[in-house]
This record gives sequence, structure tokens and C-alpha cells, in this order.
Amino acid sequence: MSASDEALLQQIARAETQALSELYDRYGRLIYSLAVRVVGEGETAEEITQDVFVQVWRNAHTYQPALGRPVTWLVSIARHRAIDVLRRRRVRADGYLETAEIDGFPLKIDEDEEPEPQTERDSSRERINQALSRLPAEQRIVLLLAYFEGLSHSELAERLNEPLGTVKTRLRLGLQKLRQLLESDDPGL
Amino acid sequence: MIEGHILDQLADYVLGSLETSERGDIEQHLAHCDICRTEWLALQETAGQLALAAPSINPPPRLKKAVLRRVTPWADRLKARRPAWLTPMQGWFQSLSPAWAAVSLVLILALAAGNLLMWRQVRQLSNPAVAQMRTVALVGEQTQPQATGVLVLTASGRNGTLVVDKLTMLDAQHQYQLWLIADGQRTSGGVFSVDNEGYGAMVIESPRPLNTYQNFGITIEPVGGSPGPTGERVLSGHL
Repeated sequence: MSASDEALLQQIARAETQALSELYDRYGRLIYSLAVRVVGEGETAEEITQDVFVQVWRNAHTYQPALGRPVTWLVSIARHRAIDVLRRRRVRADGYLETAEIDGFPLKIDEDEEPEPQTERDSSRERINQALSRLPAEQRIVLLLAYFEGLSHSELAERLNEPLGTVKTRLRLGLQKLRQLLESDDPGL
Repeated sequence: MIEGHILDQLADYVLGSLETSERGDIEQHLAHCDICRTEWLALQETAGQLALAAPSINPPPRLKKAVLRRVTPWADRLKARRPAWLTPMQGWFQSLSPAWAAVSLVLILALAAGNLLMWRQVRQLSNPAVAQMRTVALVGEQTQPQATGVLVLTASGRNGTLVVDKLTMLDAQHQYQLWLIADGQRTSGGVFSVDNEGYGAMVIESPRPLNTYQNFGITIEPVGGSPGPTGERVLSGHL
């Protein structure tokens, strides 16, 4: 029987590299995919993924189960790291970086990167995409912009050319509705 | 310092969309409010799942090697610091006959199971409010899409609290009524009013444990409540 994610983090806290290797096998693709989605290219995404797993290695002893599942913790570290990179780029570019298209988001991918084969995580992926597709388009767009580009309220309002209050409402309603859909038995129905 | 609850700001906090100046107050509030912290954790789980909306791409094989290469020096340093008596102990265990090895394995498993049990108990004791409570998100219906609410149920499911926000303030002849729904039967969970910001809270009255109900709804009723729902539904959620 394979170890739980929590058990792997405990082993990592004891400096067992095999546990980190197994954690990478479980979530390396997810973290890398998220990083590519945020920064838009593979080379920086590789650096981010490395940093995330090194951070997990160094801080596994600080993980608190009461604050969420290990995968949520990993994803949160990865998203913050990737958005930091994105923000620094924006500052350098003195304006918006042309990132992926939001609703449908095609991406530029290195030639040696192949699509993922079918895995058990596909059902979770299908579930979130199905739930997202059931949100009103304006809520979905603002939610994806906030999550994948880390835009603040005022940045979202400027990007979408909408009043600040409208953006705030869409963001709040979008996440709440998404939660309800994911908690229901079938977000596709 | 924020008075009351901050349920309508938690989505922004989770997604990191608040301005830096706003985050401090939220963090202070979450440190001492179990209701908002429970809701925050649930929204954080939802937001975490958005990562799966990124197109899935295989990382290059060199990436895993690079990760392990970066942590190996730490692991080596730690191994070098382990006490010397561990090495002969390892050899002794390896020299045990298969029968003794099996007995040792059973003992180790029993100890591990005991530890796991203790670890779970310690974990529950360390943060009982967050670890054991359940929440039910209530979402605004078409008539009041801006409204939100949450039911917080105790670990036993016997008691619970309702918190709502951004509901329309009603005239003096009407109140909101919570309905507890099981197998199509609706039981009143109490009536309440909201202030001019749409905020309201109440302890739920229920003839049986709240976790035996599947659905929850809030309707507008004449003041004092009705035996069954008669007005429009404004919020709903399910367990």
C-alpha cells in the first residue's frame, strides 16, 4: 500500500529523499503545469517547480494538516512562487505581459513537452473544467484571471474595463458557486 | 480590527486579490474567529482545485533529477550527523531469523498503529474547532444573487449556527426563515432579521441533529415565521 501524502511529508521532514521522489511523482506534473500556465513558458516553469519541491523539502515540518490537504499546500506554494515571477516581469515590462488567452487558454509549449497520458487525475480535471463551464462567463473569466495571473481588484477592473464593485462581486460569486458545484455530486448536471 | 464576520471578503483573500493594506485586518480576524476560519479553509480547498484547470503538461524528465540533486547535499549532511550506534543496530536487525523478523514486524506495526491513533487524537485536540466542525455554504438565489451564508455545524451535528451577509433588509412585517429539509419534509430552523448591511446570525433550533438534514433553504415569511415555506427562496445549500 502506498504512503499517504501526509506520511510522505513526515518522511521528508526526516530528510528521506525517497519520499520527496514519490511526492514529485504524484504532483510534479500538476505543479509544472500550473507554473507553465502562469508564466507561459517551460524554462521558468522548471525553475519554479524545482523551487517548490526544495521549499517543501526544507519546510515539510511546518505543514499543518488542520490548514488543508498536502496537495493544497503544494499548489499554494507553487501559485505564489509563479505569480511572484509574473509580477516581477510585469514591472520590468512596464505594463501587462501578454499571457495566455484566459477563456480556453492556449499555451506556448516547448517542443519536447508532450501531452500527459491518461491518468487517474483526469477525472478531477474533468470535474473542475465541467464546474467552471457552468459558471457565467463573466464570473469564470474574472476567477481565472485572479487565480492564474494574480491580479488585484484594481488591476482586474482596469484589465476588464469594469467598475471595481462589479469585479469584486463577480469574483466572490464565482468562487462560491464553484465551491457549491464541486461539493455537489455531479457538477455537470 | 474587524467587527462581526468577514465572509464576503474571504474569496478575495483566498485568491490574493486584496490590496496589501486590506490583508492585515483579515489575517487578524481569522486568527480568532472559528466561523470565518472554517469558511476560509473550505474556500482555499476550492481555489486549490483551480490548478487542475491548467492544461496538463508532462515535465521534462531532467526536472525530477534536478530537484533531487538540489536536496541531496542536505540529506547527506543529515545522515552524517546520525548517531553511530544506529549502524550496528541496523546490522543486528538484518541478522534476525525470518521468524523473529516476522515477530518484530508485528510489534512494529502494533506500535505504529498505536502511534497513529495517538497522533490523530493529538491532532484533533490541537485544533478541535477547525478539525471537527462542518460547514454548509449557502448561495444566493436569482432574486438575491449577492447574498451569501454559511451554516457551521458542531462535530456531533447536534448544534449549529447560521451566518448570512448581503441579504436585503426586510420591512417590519417580514422576516427570513431557515428551513431544514430531509426527504422532502421542511422543518423550521428559526426566524431572523438582518441589519442594514444585510448581516444576520442565529443559533439554529432543530428537533433532531442537523447532520440528518440534506438541504437547507431560507425564505421570506411573515414576521414570526410560517409552519411551511410560503415566500420566495433567497438562499440555499446542501450537506
